[in-house]
Amino acid sequence: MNQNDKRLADSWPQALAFEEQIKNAIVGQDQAVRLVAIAVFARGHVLLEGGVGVGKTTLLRAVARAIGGECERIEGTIDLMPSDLIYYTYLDDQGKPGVAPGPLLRRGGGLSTFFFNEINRARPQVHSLLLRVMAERAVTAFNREYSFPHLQVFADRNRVEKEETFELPAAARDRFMLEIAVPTPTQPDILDLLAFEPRFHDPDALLAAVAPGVLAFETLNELAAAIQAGITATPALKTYVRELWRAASEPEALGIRLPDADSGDLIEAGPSPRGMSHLIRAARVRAWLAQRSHVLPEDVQAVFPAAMGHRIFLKPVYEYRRAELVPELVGRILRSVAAP
Amino acid sequence: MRLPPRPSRKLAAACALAVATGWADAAPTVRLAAPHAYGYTVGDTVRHVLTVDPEPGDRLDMASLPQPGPVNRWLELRRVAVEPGPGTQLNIALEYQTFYVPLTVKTLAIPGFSLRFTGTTGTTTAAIPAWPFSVSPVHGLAVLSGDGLDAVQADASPAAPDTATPLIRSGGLALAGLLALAYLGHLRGFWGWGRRGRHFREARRALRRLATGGGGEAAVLRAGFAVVHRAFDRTLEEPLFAERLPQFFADHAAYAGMRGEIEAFFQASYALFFGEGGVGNYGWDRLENLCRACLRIERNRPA
Repeated sequence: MNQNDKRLADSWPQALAFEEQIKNAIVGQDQAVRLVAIAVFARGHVLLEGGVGVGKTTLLRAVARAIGGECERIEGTIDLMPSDLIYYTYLDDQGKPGVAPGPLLRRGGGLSTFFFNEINRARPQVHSLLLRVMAERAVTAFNREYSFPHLQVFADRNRVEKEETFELPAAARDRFMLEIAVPTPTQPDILDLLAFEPRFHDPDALLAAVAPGVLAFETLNELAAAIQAGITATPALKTYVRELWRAASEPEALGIRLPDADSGDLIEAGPSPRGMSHLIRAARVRAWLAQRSHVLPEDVQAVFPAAMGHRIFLKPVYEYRRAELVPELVGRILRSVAAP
Repeated sequence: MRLPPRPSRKLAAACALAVATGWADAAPTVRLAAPHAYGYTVGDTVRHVLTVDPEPGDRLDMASLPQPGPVNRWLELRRVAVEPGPGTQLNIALEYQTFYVPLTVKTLAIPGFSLRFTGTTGTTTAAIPAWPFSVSPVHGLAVLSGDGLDAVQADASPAAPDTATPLIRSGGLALAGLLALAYLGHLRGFWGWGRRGRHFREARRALRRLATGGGGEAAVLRAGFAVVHRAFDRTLEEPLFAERLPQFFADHAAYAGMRGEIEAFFQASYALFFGEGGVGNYGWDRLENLCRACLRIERNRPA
């Protein structure tokens, strides 16, 4: 066992403990929790999508607490400007104007999670600033550059309301490694628990049960690099991923058609190369969480909907039916491509 | 022709559809109902109905009725029928047919005859008058042989109807219909039985071909695994992956008996294609045995 393998083996129980801590606070969302864990260990930014009151914010607060480090959040509003992320102005006790760092700068390099609530309420100018922060983990302000080497951005998107919202442009969506659906629980026992169990009525008390700093946030980048280096992908798996990518870009070429949409005219653009790299990064983490040293097709399949769904750009005429068409298309792609 | 002497009998005759009425001394009343007396040509029939009201006690002498058969050279009495009417009334139907070939419009007459009645007072007769009518030719006389042209000939025999063409056409349509049905069946997958249950048969043939090319080679082993994977994919009708095996066994219960072998195959395949690259003790023979066992299942219970 080389040094890297030992590092991976040592960290594995820590990863499972992290997942368990999140599941203590968030019930009935095991799939979402697993995908969030994958994104954390792949160091990818996450977009959460779900209805109102399903626990997206609680999930993210639990993640931030378990990761450790500094956490900041901002609420997306229609009048939010990019500068609001960077600084704010005020009058001090003596009535003198002052400028103070905004949520992005306030915590300096120790900022580990930045939570953008209801991102689609913010204007595209704000999205642009966020793009740079996500891509470079840095921002320029007050004539100097601030760096956030451990930053992971979480954003959530309320998909119920469409009024006064600004959908994320394709480039912004592509920056998110995963778009994780947080569905409304339907199992009766989970619903009973959420409705009647007093523990779930107070989010703060619920989050207090999550052990803080289960993961050492400063080590995550190094652990992520070790995972990517230590988990192998064989030529057969590469072929499989290439076929999946081709199917997501030109479904009609593989005979994949949706019954109520013309596949030949469905796709505006398929997943980008960055999207493919995010897919493989996430698949490697899943393999590691399963204590494997190599990626299986099942690892790719497990993360494919979350990694690819938001990167398949439909023609404008179909975009309005995105929530219905994309999951169906993704399902058909996975059921059409064989491996080995 | 003698007309009835009494006004009451004249009145009765006028009310009838008949065109003539005859009587004899104290003879029964006879009314003749006949169709129109014009527009006939060769071969036409004329139907006369005589309504006879005998005097009380009188009886028709059936021997006085005209007998069916030729009346003259151009007229034949085809049928005579006597039917009783209400009370003592009798209805006598006479059907004549004319064979006169007229060259122009010509008036002919069906000859009259007498009906004889016998009664308590003796014998009386009722005279049925001759019935004139006109006959016409069916063609003109403009073309005559005297002008150097052919004389009018008998009509040519009609040509025999063409029964071959409709037969061929029906056969063609039936064939087209069958082909259309076959194509529809193809579209609906009715002919799936032809393809059913042949996935592992094809896989076994492919394995044999691979084996003859050198079964021990690593590349051949990989090709053999891929061949068996395709057979499972086709059986499931979508790619089969290791994580979906429990569902596969639930949906294809016939293969559940081979569960251990199939899981071992997937384990070896995943190690070969996605893992360290080796298959351990999983050799070519085991792959062939698995394929053969699946072929037996496939033959017994096509998927």
